[in-house]
Amino acid sequence: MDTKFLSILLFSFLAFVLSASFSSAQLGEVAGQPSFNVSLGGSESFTITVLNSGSTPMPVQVILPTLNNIANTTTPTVTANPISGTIPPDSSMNINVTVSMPSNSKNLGHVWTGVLQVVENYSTSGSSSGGMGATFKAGVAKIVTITAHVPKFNILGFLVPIVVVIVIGGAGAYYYAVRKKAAAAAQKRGRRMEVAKAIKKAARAKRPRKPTKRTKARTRTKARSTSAGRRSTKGRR
Amino acid sequence: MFKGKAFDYGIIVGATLVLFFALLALSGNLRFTYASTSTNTLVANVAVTNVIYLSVSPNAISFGSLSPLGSYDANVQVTDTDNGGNIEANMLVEGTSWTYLGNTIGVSNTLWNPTALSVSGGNSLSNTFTNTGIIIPQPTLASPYKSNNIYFGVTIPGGTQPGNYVQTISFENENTTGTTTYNSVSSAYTVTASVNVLATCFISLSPTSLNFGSIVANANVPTNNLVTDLDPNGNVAATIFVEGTSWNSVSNTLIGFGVSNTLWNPSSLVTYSGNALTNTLTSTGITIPAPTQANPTTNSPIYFGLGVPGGTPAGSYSQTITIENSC
Repeated sequence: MDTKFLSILLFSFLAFVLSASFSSAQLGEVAGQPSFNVSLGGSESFTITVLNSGSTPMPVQVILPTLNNIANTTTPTVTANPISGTIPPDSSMNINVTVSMPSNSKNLGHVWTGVLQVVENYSTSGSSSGGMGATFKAGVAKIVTITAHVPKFNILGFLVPIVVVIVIGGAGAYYYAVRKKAAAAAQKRGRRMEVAKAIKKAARAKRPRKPTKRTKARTRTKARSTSAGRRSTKGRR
Repeated sequence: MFKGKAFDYGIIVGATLVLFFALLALSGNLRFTYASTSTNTLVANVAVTNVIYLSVSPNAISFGSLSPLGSYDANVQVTDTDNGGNIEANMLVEGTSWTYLGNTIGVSNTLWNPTALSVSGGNSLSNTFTNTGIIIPQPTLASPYKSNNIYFGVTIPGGTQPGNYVQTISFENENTTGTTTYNSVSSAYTVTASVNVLATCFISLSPTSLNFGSIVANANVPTNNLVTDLDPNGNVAATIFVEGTSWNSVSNTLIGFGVSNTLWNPSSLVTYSGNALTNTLTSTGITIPAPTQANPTTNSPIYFGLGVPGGTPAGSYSQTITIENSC
């Protein structure tokens, strides 16, 4: 290798080292801190957009938030997808963050916070070139707020039992009404038969009997006594 | 036989009419003609002048949501049509500045191109009619409907405030033949362009490493080592967070000392004092102001100091400090 080639190689290396130590790629984020209202036993998602306004691809890594501990509660879990990746130059990457809330009823009303980080993903181990060296990584942070609330009102879950109750109740009422009507009809029919029977009996009772010799004689005697009585009454007047 | 007043009146009226028509004939106002059987030719003349018509479609285009420094390639098509004209025309375009609640983006950030582009590029729009060189062919009797396309894109300058910006793009179809110019400019056929500028913040650190030099055990370096946290081309303010790892020996990672021996401070100190670095992300309370178009890169300093505990074995040590912007 000639000296010219070596000097070019050395210059290129120095240029690379200088560019690496005095500037960094431009990582960015779309503004807004995610706030999750998650029902017990449910989950909710939020999309975070990170940007690379630099001219080189940028490997990034998501660091999930460490949420504060609250006594007697079960801490929600946070997941991110993708958890790492490379943002192309002058481009963006969407990270889908999902929060799952345990169904522990003691979680109700509690609020958890944590910081979700998206940082440059490159190794810095052993990068100190002698002495005490600190290497800096750039990142963007999202303050995540999570609130537990009662499960969302489910109109179907409310309407279905009502409809079932109405249907069963209506069917019962209809059955009862039909039975009552049938019973009343039967009762009426029975009464009518009784009445008919009674009428028949009464009619049979009223029907004039064929006078026998004995009854004829009794009738005659009765008529006689009646006319005698009438005469005596006239005489007294 | 014909006697009486009626006959006399008739005679008088008749004589009067004869006299009236005789006088008309004498004065030349009454001519008697007769039908002729000879053939005559009627020659009709009409002058058809050159004309150009203009209509554009669609009348509204959108470049979606972009962050500052973001761009939308010139591939949003607008069709300029001459329907019923009779000469070819050059397509001329002009535009207004983009506006949103008193904030503006210069008209030149809109780019046009005769063909669709898949990379950022094209010609800058201006606020006066400019010949694009795009020709709308001459309509003919057989094909009276002629059109051509133009494609638009946009770039968002760094520091542009967030919001929904709109711009009006106007068209003119023009043909200059000799000293005569035929054109069609219609205010009814403008294109309203829209773009949503997202609220964003960026981070760039300078430098990306610090060397505190050689320090003896039980000695320290004042908290005056500057790292500048820049927000290049964002448009909202950001808060700085910081965390770090423990110091580890470069040759033996089992040897090291605590992260809290590094101190940070918003201002330069002549002594080793300030806030202890931790291995959990902590808000520094330092804010980087929102960049603007006039000042597209804002920054805030953060200073670091280091104390080396007594008894630390000699050697080179390293630490990783993560600085994050949040908005």
